[in-house]
Amino acid sequence: MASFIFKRVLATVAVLFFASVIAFLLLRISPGDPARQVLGPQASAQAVEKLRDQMGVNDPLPKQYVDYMGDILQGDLGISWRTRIPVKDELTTRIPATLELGLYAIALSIILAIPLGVLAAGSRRWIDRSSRVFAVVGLGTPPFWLGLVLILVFFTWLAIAPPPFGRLSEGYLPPPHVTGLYTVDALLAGQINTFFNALAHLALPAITLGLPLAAYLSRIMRRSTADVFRLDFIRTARAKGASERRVMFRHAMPNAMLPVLTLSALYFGELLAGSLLVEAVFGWPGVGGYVSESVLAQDYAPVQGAILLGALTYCLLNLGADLLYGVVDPRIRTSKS
Amino acid sequence: MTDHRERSRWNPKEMWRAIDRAGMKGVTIAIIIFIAVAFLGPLVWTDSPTQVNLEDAVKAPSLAHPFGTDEYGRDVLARFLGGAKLSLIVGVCSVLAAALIGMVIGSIIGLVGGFTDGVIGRMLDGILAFPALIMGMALALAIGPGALAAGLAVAITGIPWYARVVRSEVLSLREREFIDAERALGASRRHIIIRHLIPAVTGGVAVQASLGVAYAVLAIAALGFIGLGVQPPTPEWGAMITEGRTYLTSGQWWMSIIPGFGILALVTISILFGEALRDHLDPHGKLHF
Repeated sequence: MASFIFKRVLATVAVLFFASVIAFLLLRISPGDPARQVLGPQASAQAVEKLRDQMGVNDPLPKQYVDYMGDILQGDLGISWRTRIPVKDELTTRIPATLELGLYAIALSIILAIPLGVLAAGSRRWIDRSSRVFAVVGLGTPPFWLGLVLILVFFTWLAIAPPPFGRLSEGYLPPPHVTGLYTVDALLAGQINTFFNALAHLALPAITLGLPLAAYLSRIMRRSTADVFRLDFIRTARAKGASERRVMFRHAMPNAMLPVLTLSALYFGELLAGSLLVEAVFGWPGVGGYVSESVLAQDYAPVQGAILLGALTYCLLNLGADLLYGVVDPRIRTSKS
Repeated sequence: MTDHRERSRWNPKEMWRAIDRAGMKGVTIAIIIFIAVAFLGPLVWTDSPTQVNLEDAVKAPSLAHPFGTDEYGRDVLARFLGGAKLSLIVGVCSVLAAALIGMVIGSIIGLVGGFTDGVIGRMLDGILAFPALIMGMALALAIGPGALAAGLAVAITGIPWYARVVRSEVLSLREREFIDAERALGASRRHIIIRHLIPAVTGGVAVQASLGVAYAVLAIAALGFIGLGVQPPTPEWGAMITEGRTYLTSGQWWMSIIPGFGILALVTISILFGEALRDHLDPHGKLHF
């Protein structure tokens, strides 16, 4: 077991190393001159050159990389040249917004996907058919477009959604900071109005982000339930006279849920990328919006920080899932691949 | 399987029957219709997708402009058709490139094994940690935004998927006795690759590739949407959605809502094709979802 853990951790470190090299190189080979960006078109050539030296952009690439990694390992992700705010500070204030959105999206997708998958695995064909249509359409819908459709229907036409901008309506103050998740903090502070306002602002973006995931998970759930249906204890339950509904929801569902829960955790990294688009559509002040603004302004440090954050999340979730599987299933930790 | 396919290659009737038997008739028709719309559509609907006509700006759908006009008075239908062709070409080309490179890399690391496999394997995992969107953003910065950067991003992020499929197939073939027998009989590596490896991986790669087209079309549109994809005035669905966005809250929906249906259609067709192919090649569900 110890060698299995060691190997997996080593592999994760290697992956992170390559991810950091890719992140570093991709942005360094871009043609834009960051010093020129900071100083503007009127600055003299000497001033630009001086700033390039200060920034370290003139150093050889390997040295730049080592400096960069040294900073990162000390928790320093650099400073945004556009806003002059350290990337770490900006990320710390923005992560809760993205996290809250992501958690609601995942919760929503699990709540939708699990019963849908179980029903689809049941004996009625039309339910299976319609759940498949939902899955394929859900996977095929571009999330940013879905967001716009929801805005059109619920804000422009029906006027029941709040304006698609930010986490709270005008006139509401953020609740006292505890977790950074507005809905949780508002409840903790007993501000019921703020809670409902935050929830209303979360609704459309969370649906937008969660629906494709729900589509994917419902198919996984369907297959997993179908597998469980073949097992002996289901036959026993039926033989004891349990109703089909009871067999489905009391016996099959809890046992079939495991792969869905694991996959939804693994999908969290993908959600970070999805949030980039959804946050842009809904003016959500999270990490995604920060990244897209920074990319358009050729602001290296925030993009690198966010890429590393994404890669780290992805790797840690994968590592966690691998180790957990290794604990549960001894065959995995002894297999060579 | 291989023989059957070779026999039916130049016989459309026989081919159609095989498609029917595989349960892929509907999705094949959908693909043919989509390709026809993308390539013949602009010949039928001859309005220019880039002709600015400010007098006609932001007109709702009508007989003269079935999908309306955008903020520059350009015909949305003509731009929609242009976008269809572009998505199809960029999506398919980038996936073909990824599949080809991935297959080569996968067979090399599968055959060589050892340290090379370990290092390249970790590099591929490193690429997997990047969603196509992020890779596309970085590449758009590096080589300038456009169809090339978008296609490259999709191709690069896709490579690990194909390399993995092929690598695991190589590893399992190496253990098989008939390969040992072939080798004992003096078969060259090239012979084994062409006669055994390629036929064995084609199915898995084809399934992966058609699901890959779905992923590619979504990623290209997403890049277009954030302004780092194909640049104006070239019609591209993602960019069209962005351009029409500001008019959405005032109720002029056609500019950004209509292109989305195009993306939805193309992605859905690719997914359905991939799933049908998978069900046909592998009815017991061995290939991954």
